[in-house]
Amino acid sequence: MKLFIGKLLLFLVLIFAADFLVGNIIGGFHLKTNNINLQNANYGFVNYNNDDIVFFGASEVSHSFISNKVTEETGLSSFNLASDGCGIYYQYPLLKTVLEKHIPKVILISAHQLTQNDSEYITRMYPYYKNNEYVKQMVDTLHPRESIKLAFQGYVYNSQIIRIFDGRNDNAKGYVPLSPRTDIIENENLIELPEGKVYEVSDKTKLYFTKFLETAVSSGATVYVYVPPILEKINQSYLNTVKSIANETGAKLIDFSTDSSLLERKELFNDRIHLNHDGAIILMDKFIERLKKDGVY
Amino acid sequence: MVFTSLNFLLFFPAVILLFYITPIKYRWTTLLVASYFFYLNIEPVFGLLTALITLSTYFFTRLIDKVKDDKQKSKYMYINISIVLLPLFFFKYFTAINDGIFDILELYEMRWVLPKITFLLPVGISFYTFMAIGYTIDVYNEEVEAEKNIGIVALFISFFPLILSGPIERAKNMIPQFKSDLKLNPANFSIGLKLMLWGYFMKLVVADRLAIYVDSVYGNLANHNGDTILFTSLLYPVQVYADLGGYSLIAIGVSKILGLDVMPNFKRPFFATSMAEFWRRWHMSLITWLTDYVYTPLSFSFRKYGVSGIVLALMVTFVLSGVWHGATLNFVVWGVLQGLFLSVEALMNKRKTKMENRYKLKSNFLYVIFSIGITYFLFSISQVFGRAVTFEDSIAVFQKVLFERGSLFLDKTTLAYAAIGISMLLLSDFRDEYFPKKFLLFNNKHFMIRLTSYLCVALLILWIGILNGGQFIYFKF
Repeated sequence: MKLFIGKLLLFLVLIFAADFLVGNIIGGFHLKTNNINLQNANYGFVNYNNDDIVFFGASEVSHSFISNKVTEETGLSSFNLASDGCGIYYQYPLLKTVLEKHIPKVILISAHQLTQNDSEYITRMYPYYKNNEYVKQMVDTLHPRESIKLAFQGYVYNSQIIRIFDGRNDNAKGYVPLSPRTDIIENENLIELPEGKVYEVSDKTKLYFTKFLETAVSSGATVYVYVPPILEKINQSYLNTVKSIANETGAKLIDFSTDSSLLERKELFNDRIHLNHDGAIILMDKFIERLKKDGVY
Repeated sequence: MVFTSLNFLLFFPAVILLFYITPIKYRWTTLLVASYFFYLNIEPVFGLLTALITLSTYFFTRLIDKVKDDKQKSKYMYINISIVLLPLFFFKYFTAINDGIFDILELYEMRWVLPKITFLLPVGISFYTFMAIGYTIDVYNEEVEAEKNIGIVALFISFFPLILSGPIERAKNMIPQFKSDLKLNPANFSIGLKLMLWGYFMKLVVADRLAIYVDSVYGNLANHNGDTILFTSLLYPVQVYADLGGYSLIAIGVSKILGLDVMPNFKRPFFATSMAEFWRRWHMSLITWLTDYVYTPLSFSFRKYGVSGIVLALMVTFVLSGVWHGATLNFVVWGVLQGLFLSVEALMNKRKTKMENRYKLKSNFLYVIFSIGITYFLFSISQVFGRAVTFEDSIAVFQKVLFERGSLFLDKTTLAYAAIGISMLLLSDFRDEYFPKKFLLFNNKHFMIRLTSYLCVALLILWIGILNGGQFIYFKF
């Protein structure tokens, strides 16, 4: 039995050692990755560098806010920190990390963050768990036992290896353009937009969304809540929730959910919820106009 | 608590420790307490069900053992089988029967809508019900003696590695082991840990990774073309194999560590060259159970009908197997298809064997590959009814596969990781099937090769396994 226990212990020690070694190597590549999503996360959580305008959200932001265009036209540096599929539990620690280094002039977040009730995407923050107290707090609050699993580097970078080595070095300050669709968009000929989903807004999501806005507003930045244009009718009660939270926290609302100049031109969309690059250019013109109107630049 | 949860990784070492410090004579009690603790952690009220099934089974098997009269014995056997089946029928078929009656009432506009009652299916009920029934029949057939210690009967029905998804064990194998001197020894530990490691690999690296792709297609059939659905349907049997096969290996490994030998559940099913052989290799504990307690008595009763009797017995057995999986039309069709495939094979068996012998086909590599391919394809077709949610979905799958062409939806990252796992799994099965004593890794005589292979598999689980994945597929049965 002693021999067996000895071998078992040797195996466990080697597992830890191999995991640690591979983890450090992969961790190094992770910080140098060309994958846009990972690069954006690295930029926000590790390398953030004093931008004037920052965008938060998921794919409806990452494919719509052209940082370089905003910078060219306003003279203010900007970065699109949005990450596909990531909800408010990702955005909140990201904001806190950003604010610790620098207070931007403008912070924008998508209202759709309120609708993402799951939290699976928090695994994307695991590489920063050890060194970022805001990430640690959020992960420990949502899943207290993750800290045990995160002792393993394999868990930290679980299923990331292909992603880390899959990417091109053409990051446009976080913006990821979508090409125009060649096929016909569903419901193209409909005069009326179809009824959208009735979004359930959970108390927890609402709490962190409100916290996000309060933190952003109290930093002194101009804060926008962005309601994206989508090819669906936005559910009114959800929109009312967004408006009331924005009002209560002192954030400004930019609502494109009924903007006919976008919604009536289906060719500006990649699919029902994402603008393509042509759509993003028009959206940016409108956004820049709004910044001017609000005296941001 | 499931095998893939962090809770289990804390629970199992604690059980081993308790088991170790308990005097050998009473180690079965530690297992009983651990089993109920394990099961109560899922839903405490479910524990009552297992306790009731245990009480009834203990009481009636004792009666069967005591009475001399065959009619009385038979009566007690049927009473217990009915009692044991009641919860299964209630929880599994209540909703289906309810919905059926509602449909009829609605058809005649006679339904007064009241709040609907739905019941949560107690996890593992199909498995421990079959174990209790098997034990009752074995006592009736005098294959085993009725156990006098109710604790041992309770342990047999609730044994934690097996209670959720099997293997569906037999009393004659397990009860004598529970009553023997259970000892921890390094050899069992080593074998058990290897089985567990490979089981976790199958579940976390292969099954849960494939589940991401399969679920994304089957969860959104309307938006996928026939080619993608066909590709997905061909992958699904691998997912089920890795899922239930992985679970079974973990269960067998856990039992082995505790000094108990549990029957295997899979034997490289994808190398079967016929459906009959396939079913001797796939979910073996269920199939041998059905063979012993359903097919054999039925074929004996139908013997006067000759080949037709065999076909009838096959059909009844597999329809029952389908209904055991679920009370839906899909599973009935699934069972009918298995019965049909096997019946056709049974009817053609003589001619096929004659032809194989005449042309020495069994040693012909191409013929073997062709037979394996056909068998896999037939099973994949039947599994459409096992995977699609409704019968209408299953029909839609076949319609799309036949008539809707298009480019494949390839979730490259998911499929790339899955490919690593599938290749390793199939290569390992290939080695065991054709070169059982060659190219050994886990069982290599050189310690360094063994250690390296354990490390590689463990690292793969850590790095590319789905560690926050879903439940085991068979929990819903």
